[in-house]
Amino acid sequence: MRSDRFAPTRRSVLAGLAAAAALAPAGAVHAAAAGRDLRAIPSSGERIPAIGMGTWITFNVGDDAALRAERRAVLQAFFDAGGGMIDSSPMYGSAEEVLGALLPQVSGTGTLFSATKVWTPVFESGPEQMAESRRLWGLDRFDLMQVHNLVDWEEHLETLKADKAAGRARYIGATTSHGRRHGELETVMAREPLDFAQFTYNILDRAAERRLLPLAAERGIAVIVNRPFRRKALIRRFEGKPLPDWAGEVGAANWPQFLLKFILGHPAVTCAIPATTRAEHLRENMGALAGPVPDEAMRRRMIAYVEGL
Amino acid sequence: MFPYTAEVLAAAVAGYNADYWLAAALAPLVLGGALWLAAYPKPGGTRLIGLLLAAAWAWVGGVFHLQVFSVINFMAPVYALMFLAQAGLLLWLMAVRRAVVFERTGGWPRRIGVAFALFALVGQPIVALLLGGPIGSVRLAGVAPGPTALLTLALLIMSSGRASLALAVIPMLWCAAAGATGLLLGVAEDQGLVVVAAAAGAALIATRGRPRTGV
Repeated sequence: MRSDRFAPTRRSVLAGLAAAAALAPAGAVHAAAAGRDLRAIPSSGERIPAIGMGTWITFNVGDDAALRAERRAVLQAFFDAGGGMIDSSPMYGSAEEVLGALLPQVSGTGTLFSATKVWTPVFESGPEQMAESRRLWGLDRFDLMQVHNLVDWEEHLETLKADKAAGRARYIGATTSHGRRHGELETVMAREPLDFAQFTYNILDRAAERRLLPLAAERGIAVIVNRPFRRKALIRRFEGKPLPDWAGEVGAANWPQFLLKFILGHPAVTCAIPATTRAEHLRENMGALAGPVPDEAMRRRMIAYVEGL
Repeated sequence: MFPYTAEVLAAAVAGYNADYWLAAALAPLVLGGALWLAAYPKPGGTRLIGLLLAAAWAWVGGVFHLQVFSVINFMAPVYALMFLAQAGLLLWLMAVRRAVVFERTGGWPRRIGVAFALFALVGQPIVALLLGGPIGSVRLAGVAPGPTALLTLALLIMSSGRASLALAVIPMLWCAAAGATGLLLGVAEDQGLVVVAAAAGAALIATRGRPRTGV
């Protein structure tokens, strides 16, 4: 299996035009996207769906056949909904191996945007770990290779740059999560030629708004948002509470979509990567790809609403 | 934060028990023999108990942690080292140095130790089943870390000698880690383990320093 770029289609061009229109000053919401919300990677202009999928915990199911069958259904639902980015890591136990086993069993994987990470404090073992990841996924190259949690980033980034030049990765990036090490990530983003930066951002964890998101916009770095639901915590916190009457104005039919729409409303965000073990939840998440995107005024209204609950 | 769920852990243990069903069936019986030797000491018994416990810790480290748990948990190789170190300590202090002694006479340490040991061998699997866990996922002494650690603490309660405290450090650490995992993942069985292990640790400390007649 190999991962292909998104070829421009009439639909993606229309979506791009809609997204461009959305950047213009607007009222409560940006103009409704025509079809899926595709976002441009600043360093190339290539467009990818704004909702991807994380695999932390969810795809670490080992050899269990029943659990693998459930994850296969999630994966199929992801591609059925036009999904693109799947993000994993060698740190995620069996997740990469499970993905590699399941991807050939589902259809529509031509849109896959494969993203993984290098995660080893021993610099010398980085290339070997990345080669193992390619073997596990069944890929000749990754679309995106990131330095996981900035572990040994100065050394690993040199390898990543060489891998990009040699065609073993199309894009390179660096990650952090849980709001940690923002200062160090900021340094990396300011200094290094990153295509992507990944960090935590959600309606309650908004520290990234201060420096990281503006810096990404300034430097032309695509942003992947992890922990959009603080794992499940935000869903649990808000489920059972009413959505605001005006949730439809931002295209949210449920809490997951409301929370994802908030994230997608930030113009510097390229892709959010919620994770799930259930196909029906996956479909809910992917529903956030359609419909209007909140502008800044509406995002402030969304914050005020959830903080008042 | 752990990279797996309780459901995945149960599935991994079920697969492990199925793959190594003979070891899973025999280990509690063999360790039941170690309990018998601790309760009714015989010449050379300490050495044999040390060998049996060391074999159990080495198995859990080398097979459970390195081959099974490592698939879903990146920390498993560290746990394996811990278990292999404990196996080495048991071999050295019990089988070689005989720095742990099991006494002929009874008393409350013996009774408490037997109670904790029976819980590790039989009670914990029954509790896991009563809590609704599938029978295939039951964790057994000698092949799974939690009950092996608890059984080791129980046998140490029945012993005398300063080395028994040193031998209790890693089992206590494991039980604490397992309890924390149980709390975060919502596994009642592991939450219970930390409570029982804390009681066993307290009993172990309370029984130190008593003059005993050893074999």
